[in-house]
Amino acid sequence: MFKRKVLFFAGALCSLLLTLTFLTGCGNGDEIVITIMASGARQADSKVFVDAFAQVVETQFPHITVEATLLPDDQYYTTLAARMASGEAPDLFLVQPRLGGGANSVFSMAEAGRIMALSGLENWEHFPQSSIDDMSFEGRPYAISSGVAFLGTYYNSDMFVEHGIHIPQNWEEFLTACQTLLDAGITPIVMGDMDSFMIQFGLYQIVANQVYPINPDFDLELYEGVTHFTDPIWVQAVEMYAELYERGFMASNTLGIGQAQSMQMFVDQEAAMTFNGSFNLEALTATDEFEAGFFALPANEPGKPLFTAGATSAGFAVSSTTDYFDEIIDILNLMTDGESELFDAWVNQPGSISIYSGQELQHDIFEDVMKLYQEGHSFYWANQAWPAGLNDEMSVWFSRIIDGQDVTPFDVTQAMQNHFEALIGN
Amino acid sequence: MKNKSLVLSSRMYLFAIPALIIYLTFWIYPTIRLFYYSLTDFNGLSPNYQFVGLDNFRQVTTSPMLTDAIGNTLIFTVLLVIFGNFIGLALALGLNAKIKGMGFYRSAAYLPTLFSAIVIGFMWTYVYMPDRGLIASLMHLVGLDGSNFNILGQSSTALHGLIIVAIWRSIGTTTIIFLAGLQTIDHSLIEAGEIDGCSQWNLIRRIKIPLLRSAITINIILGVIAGLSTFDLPFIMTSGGPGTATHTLMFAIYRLAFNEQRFSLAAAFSVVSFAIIIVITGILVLYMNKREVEM
Repeated sequence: MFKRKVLFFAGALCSLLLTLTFLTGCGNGDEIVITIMASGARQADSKVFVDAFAQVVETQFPHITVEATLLPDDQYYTTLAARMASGEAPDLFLVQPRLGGGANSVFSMAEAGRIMALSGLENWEHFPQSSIDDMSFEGRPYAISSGVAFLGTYYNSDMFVEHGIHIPQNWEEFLTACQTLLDAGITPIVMGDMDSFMIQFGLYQIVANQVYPINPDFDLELYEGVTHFTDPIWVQAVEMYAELYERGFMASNTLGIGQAQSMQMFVDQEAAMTFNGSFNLEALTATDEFEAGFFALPANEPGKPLFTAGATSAGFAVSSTTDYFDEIIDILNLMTDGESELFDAWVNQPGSISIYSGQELQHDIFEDVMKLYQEGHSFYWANQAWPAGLNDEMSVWFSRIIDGQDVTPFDVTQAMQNHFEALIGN
Repeated sequence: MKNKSLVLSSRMYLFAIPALIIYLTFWIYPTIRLFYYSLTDFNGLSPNYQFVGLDNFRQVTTSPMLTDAIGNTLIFTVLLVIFGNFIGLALALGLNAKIKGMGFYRSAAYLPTLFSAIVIGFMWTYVYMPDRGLIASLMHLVGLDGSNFNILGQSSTALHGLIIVAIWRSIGTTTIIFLAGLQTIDHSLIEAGEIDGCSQWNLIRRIKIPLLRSAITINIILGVIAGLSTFDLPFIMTSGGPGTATHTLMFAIYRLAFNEQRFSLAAAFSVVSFAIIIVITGILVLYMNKREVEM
């Protein structure tokens, strides 16, 4: 009797499961779910792109449901790497140009066969070749970026005017401006070096003026063993950045201050300048108390041209495991058509500087650096050519200089060279 | 002849199969894979990886990263366990007294445990912030120079700054365990001690602490495990810096795997860390159990 009851319940359970399975499979066969993942933070007063993407795509393509995920930067890299490793990549996700950003760089992803070539897109002619090249691997584009991002120097223009300081055009003028501010009792620059990635914000601007103008192929030759980080031009770049700390131009105790705190200090007018990126425009100009400006750190010698550190922004790539490549290409064609609602949402992301042909510069604050970029006076961010993790080693060693340890700029470059060789397996 | 157990029918073991499958799938299999990856050059992305033998272990054991991380982790663990237990015990003794509003005090002592690591990390970076943080402001208030108070920004003090936060976070749990232990002590023993003229200090030393052996063992083991596996506070509060001053074993593994894209090296690092943690915890458990039996 007991056995019969058990059999009955087991049979009923199996029937129920089969029915549910059947019903689930009987949905509209055309309906699909596309997953999109990006990094960033939600702002109270503006809509993030992935949400706008979901809304527009679901309206324009009624058979598509979009599952959008937005994660803070650190969490994004970790989550993406974990999902990649487990074969559960989202259909569309952000990748960094070249080798930048480590595991989620377009080179790493394409080389590992994790993303698909986007050669079939319709609107490539509206993008500058440099942007396409930054997102290409072995001659084929694998991701599409809406714009460019700059590292630069945000400054309090009211303070500059008050102390008769003009925007410096070379390193000497920059140091003089810092000294003038310091003499007036104003902290010239604030950085949040407790978030050690911030060290890159200033240093890469110096490298764009001290290393690449002398040898644009420096990074390529690094891999061939022709150039080394210990070469005088790189040591000089590190020395110049260290000089800002040695001469007291940086706020004190920056290793105890995080990025958010340093940005708040700039907004609160506790320092005249901070090195940061165009991507943090909103946070750094969130005040009516003063007018903020932005210039490329003039790490050039007098009489030599100024270069800005401008890089193609992160762009969307399509996972090689997606089942909906054709549908995604349709969406990307809509996103890059220059007129659709989806296009507007894409190019008007907060802090975004569009490079799509015919688009006007939205933020006047970036006018000068954009001009340099368009004139070809721009180099990519150094870490975009490095293997993942080298920037961390650089930050670790440079923070020892800030900490007052017995470390020289040459030691920093030596550590970078050693780590570089370990990372590429030499 | 069938071998029938008087305690449990052999058929009942079948019911353990679902749990066993879950355990094997989600714990044993990934652990075995971790060992496997430690012998390859897998970078977490490319499916084409090679078997490299013990190369990763050679790199790990010769890397200063391992010695730095082990040193920091051991200092973190030892200080967390010692100070965490002393403060927890003192608080528990205080909270075991019969005074008005004790429920409130006990809740207040447990409150820090309820916050997530993110909240705690964010909050304490403002407590520690140089010149403008809570501690620096208090220093200014009493006429001290708070502008140079920079506990997280100096390699000599950053780890201690994190240990203070870890103690603050775990003190609620430690205290509750001690408090539960104190409340199981037979009151007649305390009364006997008092009749014999024991001072309060002797009551604690000769009666209460010996009878808290089990609670002490639990707290030490929990503290050691928490200390050896510390990751969240260095990650949230210092990014492992300044330099490598707050690199712990787990942080170093994270950096190798996710920042440097060297999953196989991180796997080897994990295996070495696993061995270190097992050995330390094993020795400690054996020692503490032996001490308890001797009591």
